[in-house]
Amino acid sequence: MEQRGEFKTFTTPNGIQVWVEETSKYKTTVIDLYIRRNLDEQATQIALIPPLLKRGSEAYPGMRAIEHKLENLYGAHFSADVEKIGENHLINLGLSLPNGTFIPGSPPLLKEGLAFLAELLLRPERENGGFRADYLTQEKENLKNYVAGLINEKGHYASESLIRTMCDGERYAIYEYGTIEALESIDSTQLYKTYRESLERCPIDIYISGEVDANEVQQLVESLFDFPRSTPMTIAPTDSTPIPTAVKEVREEQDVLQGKLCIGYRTYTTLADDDYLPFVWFNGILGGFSHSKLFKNVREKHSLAYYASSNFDKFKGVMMINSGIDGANYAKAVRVIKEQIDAMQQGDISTEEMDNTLAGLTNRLKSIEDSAGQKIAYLMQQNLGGRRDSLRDIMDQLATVTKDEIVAVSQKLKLDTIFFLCPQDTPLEA
Amino acid sequence: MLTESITNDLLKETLYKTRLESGLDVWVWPKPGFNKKFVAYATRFGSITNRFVQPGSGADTQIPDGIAHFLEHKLFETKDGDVSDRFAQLGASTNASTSFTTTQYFFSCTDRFEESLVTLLDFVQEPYFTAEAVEKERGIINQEIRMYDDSADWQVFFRLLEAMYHHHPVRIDIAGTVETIKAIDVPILNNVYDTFYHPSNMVVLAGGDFDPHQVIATVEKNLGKRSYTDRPEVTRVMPEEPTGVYQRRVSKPMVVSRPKILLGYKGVVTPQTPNERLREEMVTNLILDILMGKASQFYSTLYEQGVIDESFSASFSSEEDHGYTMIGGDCDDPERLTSEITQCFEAAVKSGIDPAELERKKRKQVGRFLRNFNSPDTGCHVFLHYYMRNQDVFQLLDLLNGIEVSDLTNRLREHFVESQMAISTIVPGDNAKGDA
Repeated sequence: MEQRGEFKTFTTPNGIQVWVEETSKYKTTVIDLYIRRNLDEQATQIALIPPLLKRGSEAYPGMRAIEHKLENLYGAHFSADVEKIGENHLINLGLSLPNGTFIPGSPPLLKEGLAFLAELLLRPERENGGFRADYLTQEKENLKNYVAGLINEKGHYASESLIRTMCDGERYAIYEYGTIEALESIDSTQLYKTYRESLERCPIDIYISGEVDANEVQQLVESLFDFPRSTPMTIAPTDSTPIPTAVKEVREEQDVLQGKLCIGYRTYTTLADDDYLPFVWFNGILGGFSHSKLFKNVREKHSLAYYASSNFDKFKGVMMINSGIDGANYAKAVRVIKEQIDAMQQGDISTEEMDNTLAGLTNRLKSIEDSAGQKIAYLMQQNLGGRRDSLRDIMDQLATVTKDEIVAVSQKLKLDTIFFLCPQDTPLEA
Repeated sequence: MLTESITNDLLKETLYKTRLESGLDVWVWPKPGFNKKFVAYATRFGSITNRFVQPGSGADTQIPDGIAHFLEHKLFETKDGDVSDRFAQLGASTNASTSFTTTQYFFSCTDRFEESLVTLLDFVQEPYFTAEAVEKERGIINQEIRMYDDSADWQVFFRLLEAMYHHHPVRIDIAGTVETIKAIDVPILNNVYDTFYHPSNMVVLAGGDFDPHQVIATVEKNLGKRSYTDRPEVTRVMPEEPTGVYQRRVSKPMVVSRPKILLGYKGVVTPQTPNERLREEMVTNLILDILMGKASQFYSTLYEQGVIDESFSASFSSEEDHGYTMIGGDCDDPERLTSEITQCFEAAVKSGIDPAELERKKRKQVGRFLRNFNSPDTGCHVFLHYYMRNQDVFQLLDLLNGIEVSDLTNRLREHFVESQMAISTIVPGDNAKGDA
């Protein structure tokens, strides 16, 4: 077994990569399984798979049977969902079990939990060679409602709208839950075939953290997840290079009281680059903390907003600024936001901002170490991006970044799109 | 000053408790092996206290809706500027929140703990309110209020409270309204602060890898240098709340893709000790989980028929002077769901509750209970929740084990009654200023 930071790792004979952290720190054991695919026109099909897996398996037919089993596992928690990371589309199955040593009698919950996960993954309920038709009909309806429901979450709706406008034509514009239009034509046999193909050919990783023994985990995983697999399909890298020809400014009126402003920048920097950590710094100083320039100026100084923050997608290289403002303050808010970026590009970063940001970034990384789930998610993203440095390595490197490097990486920024979800009849201003 | 230590054998965790001379409770939970240290400093004062007997004058005093929340925002202002800046320098992340019954200030950090702790203690005990700052904060809070006004989930919940309660202040939005917060000024803030932020009304709760005696000593030293005098408990005035609901049905149009429904059962308040109330809450939630949880026939049938989806939930929560059940989620056919819910309770009254179901739910709760204590911050939030209700979280599993089917069948008959029921829906449409 290889050691990677606090995780031991091995590959099963059928090519599944397993990562194990042996720790007695927690009251629970966490298992996370990821199937990795390209984000593409099959997105809607993939989005249907986790809900179908939750509907039942051969040994546990129906939702009730699954739920009974979880309750009997002392309140274990099972989750199944899709995730979009850069232009990757992942299926994630998660199981969180009580640490057996806290239960009188110390039942072998890890073994039962892994067996249960394997069962749901490998033997979903089927009929006529495909997923059960009634389950598929119902989950199509649920997914349709979910996608249509995006409009209810105004902040989320605005962010998604920004991405779709900004990255129109790029794979990144694809919503991880697909589209309503694609649902109808999906048939259960074809979908099941797509699923089996994913199991056979997509990279699969299993992460486990808890009071476990890595050798025992190896024995269990290799026997329970022993199914035929073949040459993995190529997962295409995320494209962070597109260059906007002109800034797009889009507004959409809805019956809302608060406007949602979303501004998208291309950074031409990803976690695979040498100037990745300088950009993490940049994002932190700009809008990653309550001491940041956006918070201080958009919220505190000008009272324009309750929240103003920036988020950096380290795979796609896109930075998004979000703020909830009054419709009438659009021009002012955009101006104040642009001023903060201009200021940083010209080197206007104080020692206090540098110190506060380092303290904040370090605090965040150290907090990740306290949570099994967050540690797993971080390692998974490192693996996705081809980085081998551990959390501690990153913390050490962060401390060596200089102000010049931060200013330098910020020169690459290009404003791409501004999206504004605003109340009806918001006046347009210069 | 005596420090007692209480150990829970199942959890293998120990809590250290003490009460300082000033009346402040200090609870410390050592959590070796974790980077994060978490501290909450909280007061038993939230949005439902809007009327009290003024200490000293004895005058019947009313305060504007939204004041507890406004004060929470303004306390971060100090003579030397926003205290968030100081926390940022220390690398700590800080937050605060106002609920119906409490206001809480927290920080979490992985370094420079002592300094952050002192910063928290100082800023919460040293209010600094200026007219200019109050005015500026109004703008920010107005945006926060609008954010909640646009949230359908928040609206369906608050409308239900408005429908269930005639007079009880739980029906008032925690942040108040744009109108009500206009009345807030410096004198009012000072008075409210002096009245409710006395140590005898407050608690400091800390969790992390530290020596509990050291933490207690730091807090004691900080409080000791301020001249707190004894103060009797403040008399809060609550309006008479009739049993029965104020309005049977309320409905609000919003720009949403599907209707949302929340069906509520208003609890009848009876004299009980805090732990009796905890037991009643657990009994009620066991009923809801057995009858309508994911493992129930109700859930799977209605899910298969598309009447409910994963957004469906049912739970009961109670405080000293109010309690309610809320059941619902996204739903295209609110009428159908309403009748299914009432029929479900009626059927259960007739057929009773299966003891095997209760046993399985008890097993489930063991894992759910354990999960709360996985890290300093989540554990502290749980301790604080039960502290505020004067309930002993370490006794939770014992209380649970003592619950029998007869407890559930009695509660079923008494709580889930038509006369106590109200329904709130959000329907797709344009925002209107009043009810549809």
